[in-house]
Amino acid sequence: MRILSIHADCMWYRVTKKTKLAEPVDILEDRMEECVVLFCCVEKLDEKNPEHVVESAKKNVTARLAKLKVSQVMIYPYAHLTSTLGSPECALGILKGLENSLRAESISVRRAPFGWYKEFEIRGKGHPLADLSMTICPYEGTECDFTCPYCHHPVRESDMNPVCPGSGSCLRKDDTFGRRPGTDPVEKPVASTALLVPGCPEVPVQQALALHISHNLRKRGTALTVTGNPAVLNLLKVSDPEKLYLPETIVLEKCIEELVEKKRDCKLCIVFAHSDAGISYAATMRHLLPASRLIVIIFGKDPEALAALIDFPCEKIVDKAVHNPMQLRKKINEVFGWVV
Amino acid sequence: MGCIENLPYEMILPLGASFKECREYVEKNYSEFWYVDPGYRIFDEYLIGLPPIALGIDGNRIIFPYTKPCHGTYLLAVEDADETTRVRKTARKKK
Repeated sequence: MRILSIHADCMWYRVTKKTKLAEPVDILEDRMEECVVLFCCVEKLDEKNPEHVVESAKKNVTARLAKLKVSQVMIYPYAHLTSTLGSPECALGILKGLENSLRAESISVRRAPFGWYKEFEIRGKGHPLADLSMTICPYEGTECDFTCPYCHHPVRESDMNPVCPGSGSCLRKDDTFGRRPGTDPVEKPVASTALLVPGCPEVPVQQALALHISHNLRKRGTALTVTGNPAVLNLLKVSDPEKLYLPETIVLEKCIEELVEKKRDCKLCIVFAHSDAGISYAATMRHLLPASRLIVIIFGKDPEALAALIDFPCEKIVDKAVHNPMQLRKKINEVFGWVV
Repeated sequence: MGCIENLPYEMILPLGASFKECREYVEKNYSEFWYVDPGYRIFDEYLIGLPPIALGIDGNRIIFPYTKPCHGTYLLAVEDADETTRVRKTARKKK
């Protein structure tokens, strides 16, 4: 569950239009002053143990309220904090659960209706502690497989061997993760959400590199979606039957529809292009995701000519790769700062 | 884009035309043309491409580029009076 918490002077909303998921409501407009607004987003993995998520969310929120010395809360359903939404039934159950559990702690709670379009106005207080993003881990307190997108460090620290035990010259292990200081590239922060867009699968390197990128983004905590035509998605699914590397997939046309309708967003978009069509898709992504980091991987027999067609802002990774992915993989790793 | 494949279309430029060639062809060969951005909806499908995308109009025929990942871009013409009217109302004249 993702929560964006904002300490506010006031928060106001009014419902504008219902969706097919709309819960019945009596209150169409509401306002709260001197409160903490919780923009809440229930994710797919929360369906595993909703009660635990409610309990963990309550604990985190009450700790936050105590720090801010606030006893009023507005819960505001906000689906745009993740690309892996939970089911509407589960989401509403968790939001109501959070509402009731906070009320049981003598906190004054209001909840904006679920499944409605709403206009709102918020005046945040803007002090250093006013805004906070919280991630309520559905695994917390239980066995964690350390591969879920919630974990910042997809490695068990207990499994790690110090690079040079007992040596005072070693950097702390949480700074290095086994890298040789000063020699290996530094890992750049990974985007919280990403969209991977492989093109036509006729050039062999694409499939291997798509799985490579998927694996490395996910293990560093990125919530990734892969989109493509049915042929490319089926090839990837057959290559990874247990979904060890592949995340959520969505057919390209549906994905474009969701981007156009602003139902989907991401911080990072990676497009594979080995033809004019690939560049067209990259340009479309640039237009539909103007604020995202866009990386276009241009490969195939004549990548330089294709790269020259790009006149929109993006980062390009260019290599004449058809069958051998090694050089292009090296370039991809360098751009992301991955030590693989 | 199964929907477009079911329409009675005429292929103006065949497979292998680049996106740029499609735009230039529309601008050169049709006295009435309009511009839209990627994601513009036509015949219930979303257009793909480098903005601005040029759409030609010839009577009740719309001429538009149609991209498929594994095939490239075609330039197609489809006759539809309602859709032609809608393009005239929603597209723009300037690039």
